Amino acid sequence: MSAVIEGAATQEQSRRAAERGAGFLPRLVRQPIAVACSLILLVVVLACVFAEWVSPYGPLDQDLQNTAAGPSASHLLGTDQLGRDILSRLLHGGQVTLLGIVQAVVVCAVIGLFLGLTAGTLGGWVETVAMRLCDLLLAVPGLVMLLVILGIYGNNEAAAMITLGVIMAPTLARVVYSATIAVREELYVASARVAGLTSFQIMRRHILSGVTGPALTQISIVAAVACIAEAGIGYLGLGVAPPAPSWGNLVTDAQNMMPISAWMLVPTGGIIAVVTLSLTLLGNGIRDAYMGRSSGSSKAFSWRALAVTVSQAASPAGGGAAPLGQESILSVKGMTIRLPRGSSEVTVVDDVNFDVAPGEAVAIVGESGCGKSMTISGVLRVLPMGAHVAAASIAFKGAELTSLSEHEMNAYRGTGIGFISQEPISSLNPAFTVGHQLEEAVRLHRGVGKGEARQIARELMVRVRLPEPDAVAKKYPHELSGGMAQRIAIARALAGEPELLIADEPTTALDVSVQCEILDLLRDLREQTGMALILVTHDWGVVAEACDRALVMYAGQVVESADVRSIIAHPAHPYTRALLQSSSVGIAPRQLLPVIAGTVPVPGSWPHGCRFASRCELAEDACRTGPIPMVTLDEGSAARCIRTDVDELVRT
Amino acid sequence: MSSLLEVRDLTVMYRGRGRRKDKVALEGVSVSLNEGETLGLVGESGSGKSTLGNTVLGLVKPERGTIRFDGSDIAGFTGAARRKLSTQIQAVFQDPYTSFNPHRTIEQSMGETLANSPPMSRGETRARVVAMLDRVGLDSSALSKFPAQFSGGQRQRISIARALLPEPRLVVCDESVSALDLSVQAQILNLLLELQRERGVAYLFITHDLSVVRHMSTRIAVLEHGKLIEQGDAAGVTDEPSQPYTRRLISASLSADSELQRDRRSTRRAMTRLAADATGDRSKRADEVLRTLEHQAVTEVFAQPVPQSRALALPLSRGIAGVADVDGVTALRAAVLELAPRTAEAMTPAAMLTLVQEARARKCSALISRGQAGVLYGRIRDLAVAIETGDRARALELVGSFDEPLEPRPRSNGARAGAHTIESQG
Repeated sequence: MSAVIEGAATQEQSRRAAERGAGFLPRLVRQPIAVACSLILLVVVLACVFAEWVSPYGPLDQDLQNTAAGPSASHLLGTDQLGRDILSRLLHGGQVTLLGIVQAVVVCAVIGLFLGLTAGTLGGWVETVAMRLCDLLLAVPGLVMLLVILGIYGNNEAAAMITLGVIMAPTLARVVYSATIAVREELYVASARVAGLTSFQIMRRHILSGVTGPALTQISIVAAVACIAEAGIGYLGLGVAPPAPSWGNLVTDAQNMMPISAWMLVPTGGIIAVVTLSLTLLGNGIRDAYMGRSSGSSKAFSWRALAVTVSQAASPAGGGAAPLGQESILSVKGMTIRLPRGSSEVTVVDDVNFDVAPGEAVAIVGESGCGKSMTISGVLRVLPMGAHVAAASIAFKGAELTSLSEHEMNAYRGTGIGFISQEPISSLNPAFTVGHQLEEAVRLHRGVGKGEARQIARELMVRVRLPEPDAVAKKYPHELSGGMAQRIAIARALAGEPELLIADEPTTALDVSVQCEILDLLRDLREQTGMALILVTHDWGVVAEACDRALVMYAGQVVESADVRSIIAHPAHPYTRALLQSSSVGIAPRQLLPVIAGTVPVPGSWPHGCRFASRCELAEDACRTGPIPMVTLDEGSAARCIRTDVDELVRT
Repeated sequence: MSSLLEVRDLTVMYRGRGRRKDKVALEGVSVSLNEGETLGLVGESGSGKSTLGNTVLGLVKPERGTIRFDGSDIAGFTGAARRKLSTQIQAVFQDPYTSFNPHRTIEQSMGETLANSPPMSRGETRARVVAMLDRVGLDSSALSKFPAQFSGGQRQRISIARALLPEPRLVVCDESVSALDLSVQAQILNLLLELQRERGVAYLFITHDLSVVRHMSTRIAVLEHGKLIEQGDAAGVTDEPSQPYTRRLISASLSADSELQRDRRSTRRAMTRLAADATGDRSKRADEVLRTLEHQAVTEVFAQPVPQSRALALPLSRGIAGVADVDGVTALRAAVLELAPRTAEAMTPAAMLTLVQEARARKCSALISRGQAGVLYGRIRDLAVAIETGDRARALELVGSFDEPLEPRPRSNGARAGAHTIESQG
């Protein structure tokens, strides 16, 4: 059996995984605000429900010695104009208000969930009818409806609150419906259908779990609205008739007594505010707990995160970029990037050194999580919030980028250094035509007028070989194919006449034939303009096709640097060799491929010694004792391996 | 052997809503797959390859056509009949991140696929799940974990375990390794191959990656815009594609060999120049294409695991007498391009092929008029020897010297001995 358990999970890994994987409730419990709100609500509800026993006085008991008094030992929240204990009245009145909230919420939840779920799962005419019904209900003016109902049924709280529930149901139905639609398209629902589950089983197991979060959030908001509405009805005197208390008519009393005792407003208004606020914040907590669990990254960048900070390290800490005979256009020395994680920081790029000569095409190769995209983000300084870049030097054409302010850095982005990303369509703004966006880039980078910009934009589109440039210019990004969008993205990058183009997996999302065209285009542009290229990729075919030199990255470090021909023919680092062998080229069809056991260690769990040692068959004790330096080999190549001499033997 | 899966004349439409038009996703597609084999479905985005997989899985309803699985037409199956098929047909999807419900544990998700198997106790179910997880290289601690706690590669292992749990006879692998890193991809491909050998499961293997499909498949079907372009055994389709679209796909796939890639690029550029040049000196451009193709052929040969000169054996076996006339010389020289599938006639676009043949005939008659047919014979014979002995530099030198008037430098005895074996092979 050749299947190997991937990577012994390190402590850090399992801790993070546990955090992500823990259930919905544990996540909710970890939020102090949500817990506090739940406790407040629980206390209020319990106190109101058991008001008969808890409250010190009856709701109508009068203490005529103490009318309109402030808080005292015998009356904790004071008394009203008739000497009735406010605390007792609040607790008894709460029964009315809370019952109203429950009525509204139950009605709203039943109708909303039913409509949303059936419309979302069944589709077809059911969907049409249900959603039209919602539209209709939304068109009814809620307040007028409420007043009419109260007019008809006269001071009937229950009727009012049920009506409120009905009025608010369409909003919930829509939330549930859209959540259902989203879940319905998920691959795991397709998996469940392939597994042979019935529609009911799929609804119960998969759709409900996806809908719960958004529905609970919406329901907590409905409860908060119901609380205010009930108080409003009471305040207007349309609810429970005095002297029976409700939170609404207590506010009315307090308002009448304002000239004599302003205090009365504090507990009566306060309880409504506290309950409403608690419900809303609890809703937020539910949403966060739910989202956090699905996305698994809610804590990656907290609100404490600051702007990206850049600092100049004292000196390059060893390492070994391939020294070049000529002046380099970009020179990165000892760059380390740290990202915030929780309260600490984690290093994702560790002491990276490299140079790019004018006109040269350098590939940065590696698997995901090795820090290759982070490296170029560090150069461009387009990093996640709170990231910290430290480098001895990041020099572009002799200018020290680390000493530039964010504003000064903008002069280089796009103008000196162009960038194209993996997702061409999402890198364009969907609201504007591509022609407009291209012209905008031209005007920004070349400082020309509108007419001239249009002319240049058209020339750029011809240069990137877009067929019918005038027709394409009028299109919106979503109307373009991936290949066309990538051409536009390249044209936009060329607007600033960059001397260095950075491309992050520019062809990964494209079809093979389009990939070939884009790589040809990049090569031709390079030959025409003498522009240098940094290309981030995981595909050795792209490296061989488009680049002169390659840097192989593993676990945040550059582990090998050499020209493409020799790195592919004679890889010096065991990781490079293993990665090359993993592709099915040169292996007889349907035979097992040579594999590297295990996975790349995640940032934060890198070993002290060689980071590849645990997966390397050549590893010995010396590899694990301390950091491995870059060892310079022949022909300006270097590898972070102390056993390159052995490699030579293995190869032959 | 009768087919396990026989798709006939399948047409699938996606009904447009409102102003959107109906879209034909598949049109009259027929493919077949035998028990225990792998049918690779290749095509670019929008070719309908995933639609075909989803139709076989019953996720999409076909407009017309039949899908015979084990003899019965399952295209119209709905409800309980369709659900019962889940023990026979399973799937491994592309995205390991969304193919599991994030709110359910691995045990819950995996147990689902046994929903339509004969009822068994909870303990039995668990034992089967654990055994299957063990087979894909995960231990029983995975049971109570959530999908988010695993890496992409691990999740894809779990996907495979889930699919194979009811011991299906057909698994639809829809871009199952496309989202994975190279090293993990190799692990998963190996796992799929091993499981196929152990259990005799058939795969409908959908991917856009030609090298992967070539590695995994026994048969390959090529789709373009919902139509079947060609279908055949894997080696045939990738090495001798009959359709221009397949050729285009294959010639666009990249190799990690930088020199090979450089030669392919030279050929491609020479061809582009020739195609773009409607008036000027076309013969000169055609000569360039011939030269780059011949050079590429040799580079391609040396990129093979074992370089072989078999294509040259037959014309060489005719001996020096075989190059007495223009046809003989041309045939001998044409054999050079047949050394590698990529440069063979089968891969060259028809319009380009005529021009290349003309260029070759022109060159060959020039050689004859210079009385150099024998020299060319010697050079090609030496080329065969250089290939068989693995002498790359010499082979490249020889292939570049075909039209040079000078006698190539003489080779040692070893070369002649090698040439002898070549001739005896023919």
